Amino acid sequence: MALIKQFFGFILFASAFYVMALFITFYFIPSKYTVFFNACFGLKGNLDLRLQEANNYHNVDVVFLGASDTYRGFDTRIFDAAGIQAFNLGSSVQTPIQTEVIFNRYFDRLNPKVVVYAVHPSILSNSGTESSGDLIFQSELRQDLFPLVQHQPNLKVINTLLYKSTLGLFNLEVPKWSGTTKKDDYIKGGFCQNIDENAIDLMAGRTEIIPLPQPLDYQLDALKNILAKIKNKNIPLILVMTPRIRDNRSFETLKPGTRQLFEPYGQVIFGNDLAPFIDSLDFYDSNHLSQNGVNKFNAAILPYIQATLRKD
Amino acid sequence: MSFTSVSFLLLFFLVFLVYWSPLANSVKKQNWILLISSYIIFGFWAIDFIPLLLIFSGGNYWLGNVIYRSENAKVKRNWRLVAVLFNLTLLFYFKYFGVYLESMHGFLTEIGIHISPTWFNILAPIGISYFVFRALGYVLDIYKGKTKPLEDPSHFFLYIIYFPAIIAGPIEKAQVFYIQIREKRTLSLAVLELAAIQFLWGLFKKFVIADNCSFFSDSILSTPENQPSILLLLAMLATGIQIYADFSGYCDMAEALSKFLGIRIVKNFNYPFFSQSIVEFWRRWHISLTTWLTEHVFTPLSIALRDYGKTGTMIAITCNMVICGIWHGPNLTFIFFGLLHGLFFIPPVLSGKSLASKKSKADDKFRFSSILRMFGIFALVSYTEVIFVSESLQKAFEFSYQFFWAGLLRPVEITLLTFYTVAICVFFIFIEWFGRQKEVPIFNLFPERHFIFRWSTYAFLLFIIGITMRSSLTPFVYQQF
Repeated sequence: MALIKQFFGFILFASAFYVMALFITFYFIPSKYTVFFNACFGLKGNLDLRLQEANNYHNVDVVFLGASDTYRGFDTRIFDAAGIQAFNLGSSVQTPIQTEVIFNRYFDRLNPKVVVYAVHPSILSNSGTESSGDLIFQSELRQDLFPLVQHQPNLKVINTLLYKSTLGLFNLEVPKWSGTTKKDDYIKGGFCQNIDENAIDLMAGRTEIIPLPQPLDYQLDALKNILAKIKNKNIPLILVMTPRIRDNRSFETLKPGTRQLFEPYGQVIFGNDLAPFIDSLDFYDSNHLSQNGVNKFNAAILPYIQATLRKD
Repeated sequence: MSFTSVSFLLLFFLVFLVYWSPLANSVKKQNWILLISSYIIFGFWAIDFIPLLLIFSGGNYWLGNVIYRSENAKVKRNWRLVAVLFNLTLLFYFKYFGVYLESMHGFLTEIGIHISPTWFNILAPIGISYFVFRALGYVLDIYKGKTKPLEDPSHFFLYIIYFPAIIAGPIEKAQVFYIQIREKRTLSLAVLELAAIQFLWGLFKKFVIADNCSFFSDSILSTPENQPSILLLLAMLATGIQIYADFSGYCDMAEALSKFLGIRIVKNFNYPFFSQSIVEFWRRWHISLTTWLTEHVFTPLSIALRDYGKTGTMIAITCNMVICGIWHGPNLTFIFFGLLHGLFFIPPVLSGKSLASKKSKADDKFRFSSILRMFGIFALVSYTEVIFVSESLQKAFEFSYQFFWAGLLRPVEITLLTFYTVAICVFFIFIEWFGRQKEVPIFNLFPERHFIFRWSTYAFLLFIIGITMRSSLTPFVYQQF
């Protein structure tokens, strides 16, 4: 009996100690000194601003879903100019489990006529740890975030959730890590314009072919849930793979791989087929377009979206 | 399923409950529970090898009995030879034969013998080096008349597969183990607390110290040609600490799991980095393997070479250390590691300093000269550990060239990662130093204090593990041997 009492006593004590120590460490020590610790203080891409702004939008024409290639690849200003009200719900390394949370939170409010989902094989094979931490840290704390921990019982995600909960408990403001906003201009509607057009391309010139990664079951399930909900609401869906640099041999495996994984759910439009992109001009790294590339890509995909809206 | 995985801990908890339940109300029943659960746990690691392990255990038990019963010395010797061949053939086949075939591939192809490359990939059962040495030590001890065969074969089967020690040792002696399992075991709150803290300390060593040191040293040692000597020195020391924290962390967990079951297994480490000589270091490092090799390799060799005086001793030590290196695997880096350690023994042998001195110098008072000697041994061993973990000898030589020559004048840039790694290493050494007189250093920092002090220390360790452990679980270094 004494043993059981001691055991549970220690568990309670250690849990309280853990939460307090986590709060003290992350709240009082500047985040630049705690980067090696297991927690996420947000990723690049201004997700917090995007989600705050989403609360002010209703009944838009188009919603964009996906990872950083989404919020850096679909410029809402270009769609606005064409008379299409668009909102970009992309976030860094967003995988289907985070897309599902964001989708469930904002979809009824945004009530789009068309959904554009930027796909890539890696979104199904990525565990989503970083993105879960980002979403937990930069969004409003609600119960729907808990399944993220269930999918990834990972210390990074758990610590972020505990820290965010403690901040909420003491009604404290979420301190923003300067690394999340650096070199980005947040544009109304969720687009992020990269102002560091001289970024170094780490992938260019690589010769190895990266094999197609194995999709994770929970990511596939989340993807199916999202697509089923879109279908149930009779909203047209456009699956897109945003343009990628060609000077990278892994590009050759991307197209068939993307087809194999996503075409059971709808036809995929390949950004690279829409316009002649030039690696040195239209990209600032292997996965992201420069503003020049964004202009070119958005002009090329606009007719598809307009046609879908007309059909609807 | 590692000691650190949730599935293993749940399974262990189940075994623990059944083991101490009224259902297991006798020593015999508890031993059977241990034996069955050990096979189940081994099955999770390598189910295909269970028949082999049963045959292996049965074979060695039978050989032990045959050797014991043989009255004729020549027959006895012949059976010993059979036992040695039986065990070493198994070890050589699984650990070295694939590499041997691979190295011979070119030659065999030239003479018209074609071997499929799939033959090179021989999958070895987990813990093979440990259970082969346990079994071989058992039959050799029977041959030497140091021990009698175990009466109950189930005790021998349990000795071979006892799950807390199967992955990476320690290489316990059969008689020591037998004394433990034939006696009634009791469970006290104090022992449980000690076991829990030892397990926690093992986790801390593995996740916080070893994995973070490995992350730092890998980042430096992967490209030694671009690094300044100072950073290479830090990476080298971090490698030494990594290997120690990884292996001794595993041993702490194994000892702790065994304590939960009321069985004490032999201590494998005794603060080796506080040694002031290489002789003392090997008395404190991987103690069970060192003891095994001393008994079964060094002693017979030095007796055979006794007519050659100090030269004979040096040859015996060098052979012993090279075998120690080869035991880890068929890589040249392991052999070179063993050879270097053999060479380190030459000065003490030549100077006539007794190899038999058992005085523990780490318990001396804090003196600057002692600290210098400790650092010297620590650096020397860490250097050999860099060779040990190198992909190839060429990589090890690249490191040495850059460290001792090309990197001397390179400018140093201290990053946050360097600072962070140094900080956790200093914290670790501090705890080990002040707790070095006791079994589990952290437990003894607050032995007589109020429970709040002790609980706060343990909760603090859990917190540090929680915020610093790397996201992916890395296997124990010595698990591969």
